[in-house]
Amino acid sequence: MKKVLMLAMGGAFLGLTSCNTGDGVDSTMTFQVETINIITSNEDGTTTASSGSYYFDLNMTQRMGAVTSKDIILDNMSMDFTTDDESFTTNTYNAYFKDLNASVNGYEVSGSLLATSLFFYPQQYVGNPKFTFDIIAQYNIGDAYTVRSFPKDAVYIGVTNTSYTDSEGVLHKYEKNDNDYPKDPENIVPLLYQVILNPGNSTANIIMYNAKFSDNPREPTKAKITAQGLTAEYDANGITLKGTNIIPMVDEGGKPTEYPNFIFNSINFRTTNNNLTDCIIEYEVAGMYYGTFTGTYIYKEYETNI
Amino acid sequence: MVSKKIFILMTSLFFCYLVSLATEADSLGVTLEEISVTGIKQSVNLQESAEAATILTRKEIEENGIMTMRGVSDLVPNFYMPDYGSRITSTIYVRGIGARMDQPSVGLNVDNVPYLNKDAYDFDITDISAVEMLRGPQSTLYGRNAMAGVINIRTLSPLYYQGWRVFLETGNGGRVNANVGWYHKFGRNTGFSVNGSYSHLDGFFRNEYNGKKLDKENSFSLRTKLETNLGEGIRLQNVAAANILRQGGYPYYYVGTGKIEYNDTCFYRRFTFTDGLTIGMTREKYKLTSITSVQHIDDNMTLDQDFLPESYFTLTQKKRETSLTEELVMQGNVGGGKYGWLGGLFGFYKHLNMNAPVVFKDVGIKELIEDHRNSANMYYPIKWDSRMFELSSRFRIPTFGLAVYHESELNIGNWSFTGAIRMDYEHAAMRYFSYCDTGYEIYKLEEGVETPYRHVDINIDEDGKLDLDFLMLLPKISVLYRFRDDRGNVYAKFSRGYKAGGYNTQMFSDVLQQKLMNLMGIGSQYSVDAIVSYKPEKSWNYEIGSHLNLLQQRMQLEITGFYIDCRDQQLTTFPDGTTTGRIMTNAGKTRSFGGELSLNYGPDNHWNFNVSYGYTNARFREYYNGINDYRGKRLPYVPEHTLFLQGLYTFRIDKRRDMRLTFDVNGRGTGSIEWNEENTQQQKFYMLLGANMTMSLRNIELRIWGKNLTDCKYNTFYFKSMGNEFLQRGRGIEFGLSVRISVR
Repeated sequence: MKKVLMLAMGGAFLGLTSCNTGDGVDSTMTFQVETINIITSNEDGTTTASSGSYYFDLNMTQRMGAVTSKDIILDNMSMDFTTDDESFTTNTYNAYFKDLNASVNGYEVSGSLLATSLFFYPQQYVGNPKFTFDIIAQYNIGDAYTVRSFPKDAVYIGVTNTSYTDSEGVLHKYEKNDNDYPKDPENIVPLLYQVILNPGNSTANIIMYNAKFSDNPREPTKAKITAQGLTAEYDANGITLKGTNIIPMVDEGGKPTEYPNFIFNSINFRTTNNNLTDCIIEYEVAGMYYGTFTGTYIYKEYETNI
Repeated sequence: MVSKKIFILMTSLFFCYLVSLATEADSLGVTLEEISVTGIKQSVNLQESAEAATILTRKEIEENGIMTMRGVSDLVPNFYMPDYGSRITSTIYVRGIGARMDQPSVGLNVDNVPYLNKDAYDFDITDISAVEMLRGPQSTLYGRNAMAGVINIRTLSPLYYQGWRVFLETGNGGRVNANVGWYHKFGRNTGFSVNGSYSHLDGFFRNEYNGKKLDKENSFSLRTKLETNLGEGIRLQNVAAANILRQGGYPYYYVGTGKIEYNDTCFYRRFTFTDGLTIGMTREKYKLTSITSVQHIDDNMTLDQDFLPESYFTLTQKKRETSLTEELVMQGNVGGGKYGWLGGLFGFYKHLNMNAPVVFKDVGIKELIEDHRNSANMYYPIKWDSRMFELSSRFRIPTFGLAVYHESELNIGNWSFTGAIRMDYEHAAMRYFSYCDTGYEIYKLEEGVETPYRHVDINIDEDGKLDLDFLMLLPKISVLYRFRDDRGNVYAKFSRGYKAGGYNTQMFSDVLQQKLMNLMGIGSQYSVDAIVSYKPEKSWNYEIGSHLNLLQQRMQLEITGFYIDCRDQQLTTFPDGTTTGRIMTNAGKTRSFGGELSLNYGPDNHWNFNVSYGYTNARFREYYNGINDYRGKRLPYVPEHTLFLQGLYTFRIDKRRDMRLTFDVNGRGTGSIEWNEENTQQQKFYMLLGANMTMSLRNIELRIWGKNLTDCKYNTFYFKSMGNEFLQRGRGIEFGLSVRISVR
């Protein structure tokens, strides 16, 4: 994906570049990010998901700060921690704690945590503004658990391939490549996928924006079509969402209307990398449209060596 | 077949001339007319400069019965101004470059006043002193929107002509034209003129829906001109002109039925006013000119947008635009003409207010909205609240620009070297207001029964502002070599042209329709900026040419060859992934090459022959519209060939009374023209035969004329609306009688 950065970022851009206020007072910054946290037992591989959040208290001048996790629960046991005041590296978009230094219930916390504003969240489609940062975290609690964080609400962009067979038996294939959005002047309407998790009841919704399942001009573009109530499974590999025979909802005048014509015979989501930033979504619609999406919710620039 | 007949006729005429050589020629004292046009920006005679230019004198305009700008284009190679059904669509194509929408590609100056809005280009021209048409980019000296060329029109000067001029004409189609001009000189240095004209046309095409002629037209014009020499080399000219036009128009027939048949009203009404003040000061070493102008256009275009007898939707576009321009030009030469220079400053401001509602009607609501939505969700069908609603759009578009330019010419012996540069800055803004208040009911369909489910309100009440800035550098280089003994010259030229960017308000209805569909859940919402804004279009022009005076000045020949490379072409495309909407974008690259030949030959005092031929090969080098790739295809609406052939024979009936009789036979050819980017619809090359006979007696001239005498069937325009194809037929046989009286 090209470096488009601010244009499509949903959260307000916050420069993380440290600066001296000029009057001898250090520049500080605090913010909180809500996440889903996938906790895997290293002993038997069982995985559960817990809501929670991370609170950052940063001294941008000194590049020193502390991170506090909150409300991360496993088997009614709090997995919260607060790091020592430790150093972090930063550029304009990221704050990176390379080696966390904390303890939870007597266990040492080790690993890394990145707060980044390089996530894709176009408010013109999705609506309400999101928190300004996302978290990519992977750390161990002693030898017992591995914890990976994941946004509760992520919007993916990438490449969609669809196919359908028309009434005369001709197979049509169509590719929608949004990787250069919004810099591509010929492509100003991306096909987006928003995944909203509810770990409390192990369900999730997938919302597609500007959804078109074929290049058939008679098929209308659905501004916002929602498949609700997919079942969510969390395991050592990541997150999997599954749904069958889901009648989607299409927003009409701001309120949802059932759209049985476009029933999702099946719709499946799974994360595909260790950081849980990339995914694949496969679906069958109305028994005639087949789609596969691969994409990411975050710009790869977050990997920039800082 | 008809084209061949006309060609044979013309050839026969030429052989008649050869036969006539054997007869004793009466000396009529008729010579080839000296062409002399004084321009503010042209430092030398155009035929002695590195320009492909056609100059028409008043005599030639009147001899050819030219009453409008379209008539002028018939005589100029590669200069095509078709009739698209209304005077608002003043599209001009020159060497493959043209524009149907928005900004023009050809500049127009009338008595030095630049016309900034091409909606005012198509007007009646009366008592014109001369018309110059310069082909190829003129952007360096004329700036914005002269990418394909420039037309300079000069009206008759009361300092050089005094008396009365009356013109009356009638013809088929209920044609009536009347023009009266009074030209008077007060003392030696001040002249004043008033010119009024009226034209009427009943029309040639009938709307089969109501049986009425639909291309009816009435036009009133008034022009005053004041010219005065104030002494000490200071000259002042003020020209004020007003025009009122009432036109039906749009004779488009639906290809499916072959009929012109639509139920809603179509018309175009326009009021224009211009005033231009030119003050010139001439000194020994330099000349300084100031040109100040104000222009106002107030018009209303209302269309049955579907052009069918069913009620789909109508469009109204009302606008008011006022423009101010100011230009300072200084020119001079040193070393007895060895070095000539010209420099200028140009500034303009124009303010456009536009109101452009689209009204959806019963059939349009059903087929374009309800059926489209219900096919996507048959379980929850909808019905609209009313069978008519309006999508309202209003715009305020202020634009201003500043430019500075310079041209230098170095003359060494028979060589002339010219270099010029222009820096042009422009700022355009658009404030838009959109409004719609309508709604529909969703029903739930269960076991064949529809029960009300929910009501959806569609309320659009939005406004926004967009801004654009452009900065262009426009160079020009030419070299010219003059042959000895006034035999002409040969030249080569390189120049850059550009067409201004801006906002295409006609696309705004697409924005609103997309917004409406988006609120209904079945359409994407595009950004306004992405759909309606576009950047400047640029071209690089390479040209060689020659002006020749042959056969002891009895033959003037102009030959040119050109190559044009056009970038960032302003085109409409369909955004990736959907065919329900279109946007304006700079998506294309085109190239155009060809040549032109203009010949005027007056072998003796009786005969005169004119030939004007243009060839253009214009194709896309790159154009993908989101659905199809048109690389290599011919540009639509651009004629491949333009041809004008004319033979005139004049003889004196009565020398004492100065009574003469002139016969004129001419052919005007155009085509082939591709109608779409796919190059699947075409108008083949066609020739229209014309003839006229003019009897002149001192101050009176009687003319009988005819056009398209073979009743050639051809089409002048093609377009698609809602997937339906439409064509506009060209006019059949036209004939008329005119009388011109000049009293000095």
